[in-house]
Amino acid sequence: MASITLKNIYKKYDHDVTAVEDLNLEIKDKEFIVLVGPSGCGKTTTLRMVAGLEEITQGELYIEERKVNDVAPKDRDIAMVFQNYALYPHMTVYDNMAFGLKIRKMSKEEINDRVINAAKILGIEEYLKRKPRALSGGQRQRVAIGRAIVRDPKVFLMDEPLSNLDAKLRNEMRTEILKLHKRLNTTFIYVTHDQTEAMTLGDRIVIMKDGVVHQVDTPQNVYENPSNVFVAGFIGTPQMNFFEAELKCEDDNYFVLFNGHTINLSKEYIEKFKSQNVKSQLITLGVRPECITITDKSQDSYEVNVDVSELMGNEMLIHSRINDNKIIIRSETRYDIKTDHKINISLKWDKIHMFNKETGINLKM
Amino acid sequence: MILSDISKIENKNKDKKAIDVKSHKLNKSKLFIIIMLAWPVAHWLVFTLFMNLQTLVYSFQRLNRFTGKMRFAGTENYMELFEKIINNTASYGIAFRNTFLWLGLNVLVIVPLSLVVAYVLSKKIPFHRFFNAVLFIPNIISIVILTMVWSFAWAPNQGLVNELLTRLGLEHLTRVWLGDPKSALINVFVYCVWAGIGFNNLILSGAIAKIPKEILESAELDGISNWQEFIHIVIPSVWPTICTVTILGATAAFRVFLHPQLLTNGQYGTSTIALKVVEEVLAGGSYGLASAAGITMAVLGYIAVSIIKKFLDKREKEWS
Ligand SMILES: Nc1ncnc2c1ncn2[C@@H]1O[C@H](COP(=O)(O)OP(=O)(O)OP(=O)(O)O)[C@@H](O)[C@H]1O
Ligand SMILES: [Mg+2]
Repeated sequence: MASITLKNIYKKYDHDVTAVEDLNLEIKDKEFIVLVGPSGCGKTTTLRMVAGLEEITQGELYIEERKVNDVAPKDRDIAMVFQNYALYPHMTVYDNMAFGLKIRKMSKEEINDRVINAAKILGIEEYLKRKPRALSGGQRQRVAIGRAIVRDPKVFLMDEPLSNLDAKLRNEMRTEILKLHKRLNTTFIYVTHDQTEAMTLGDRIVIMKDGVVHQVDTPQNVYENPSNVFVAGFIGTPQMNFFEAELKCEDDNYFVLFNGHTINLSKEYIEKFKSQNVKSQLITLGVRPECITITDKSQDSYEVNVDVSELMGNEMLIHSRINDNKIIIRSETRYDIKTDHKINISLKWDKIHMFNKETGINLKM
Repeated sequence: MILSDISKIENKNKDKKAIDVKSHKLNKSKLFIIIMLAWPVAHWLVFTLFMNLQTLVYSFQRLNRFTGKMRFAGTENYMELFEKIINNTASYGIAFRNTFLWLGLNVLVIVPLSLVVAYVLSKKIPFHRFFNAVLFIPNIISIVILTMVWSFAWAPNQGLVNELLTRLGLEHLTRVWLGDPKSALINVFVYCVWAGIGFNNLILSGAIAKIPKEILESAELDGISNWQEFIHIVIPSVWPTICTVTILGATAAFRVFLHPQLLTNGQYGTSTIALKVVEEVLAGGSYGLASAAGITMAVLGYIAVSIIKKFLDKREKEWS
């Protein structure tokens, strides 16, 4: 049980590679925090700094109230699960889990109790005498998690623990990890580049890019109120659709010029913009694929050409274009919509997102 | 001798391959294999099989000095050898003992020491590159020059060591290091350690560097000390490499003759059976005795290496 605070953390590698820049994060006790972002954004580096495997170039790291910048990894009371499991190949599964405890001079009985207990939780009792070599990827992953569990650490760190598993197993393990978190009731920091994993696992999600944190919030908020274009595009599959548009402010009234149409905004937006004194500007319009509906032809609808239609079973994805802008529409399955058909669509204007074209910042923020 | 045993086994396998190949349709890649194997197979037939067989035959023959012909002599050569060893005639006993001391030196001193050195240097201590290079130098300079430099350093007059001792006021400790039965063998051993670590260090360093970083980090999080890491992680991880360098060291022990020959000319209790063989042959004459000694050491070496290998394999099984 521990809260973790990262204060203005920087990590610079040799040759002036800045892997993490001015990272601020307060992780509450027992929280499940997920670090997510594209490859090379500094997730692993951040995790390793918390673990103590990587030196912190600048800034302060606290576990509970204790500053741990210079505390050795073994004294931080954390356990880490590595992406490639990092099991000791020459030890049995049992010894792999027991090793850390032996090093800490725990009694044989206590070690045995803990290992057996962890093996039960993870369902790996039958494999205790085997070497890692003789296990499947999923089983190895469990052993790696077991090795962390027996330590009963204050903080669990996991670096893409599921990325080497196939899709089905990944889904299974995802639920297991959720259960595990409930059961162990400790702080988890979990790194992934898979936004589905992030959305389903995290109490809060930290979205990073190029070493900078772009948003820290609950999955729902991140989805509904992305702080900028990057977050909006990163979270959600298929990706949010983006268009160029213009926001006009005239006589205390706001409206959007898009593709020859003038759209009046809802009261909510207008109030917000007024209070923030938002000016007329070029904007990036963001519309999630499910916020576009297929309608009959009307004054507010756009006629588009179906480039590709993908049947997913319970729903379908339609790829199309508005003025050379790619657009993806998510709709309930309709077998009458085929490639090269013309359909009419309309946008749910109360669900759109508006970002400053230059800075990418959400105007509602 | 032992090495030739190993190469025998290897070459046998190669022969088999060559035969398999012929029974199949000849295509380009198979032709390539045959061509590539032709030389080693021929080499093996001439220099390993033929020469070893000849040595075996010689060991049961004696040269008639008057007629210049070989005659069958039964076990006479072997008997003479055993007698000489038991009675220490012409230092044969000491040479025999030394051969096994060298086995101990190579297996129990040089390999463990190299491992420790390789581990310490793997920790990227200051100047580790420099140390690695210095340790490897003996492997790229001719042994003749190395032993010469070594002899100079330990020379009785104006040698570096004695000079140093004198300067430090420890004159009573100075001695004729390489010409004194009390210190000569130890001195040659020290030379062998100095010259031998570099090669093992190179190979073991490579193996240690290949241990996955995450495994060491895992261990670090488990709260392991350097010593525990060395014992519980590093040694098991590089055990196959340790086996290799140990076996190489063990077989080499039965072939040692250059070091004592160049440093002390085999005097002052530093000779080995291999050196005795060389001396017998160079002195001209006792090919029979030399062959018998060679065959005897080959057999003893085979037994010794087998025992060592058994011990190593037991661990290997446990750890793999
Ligand atoms: N040891 C190192 N030396 C120099 N640069 C490094 C080192 N480790 C990482 N980096 C750089 O730091 C940046 C962040 O790396 P990091 O491994 O944290 O990314 P990541 O978010 O975990 O990516 P991925 O999803 O691919 O694992 C990258 O640009 C990487 O090239
Ligand atoms: Mg990573």
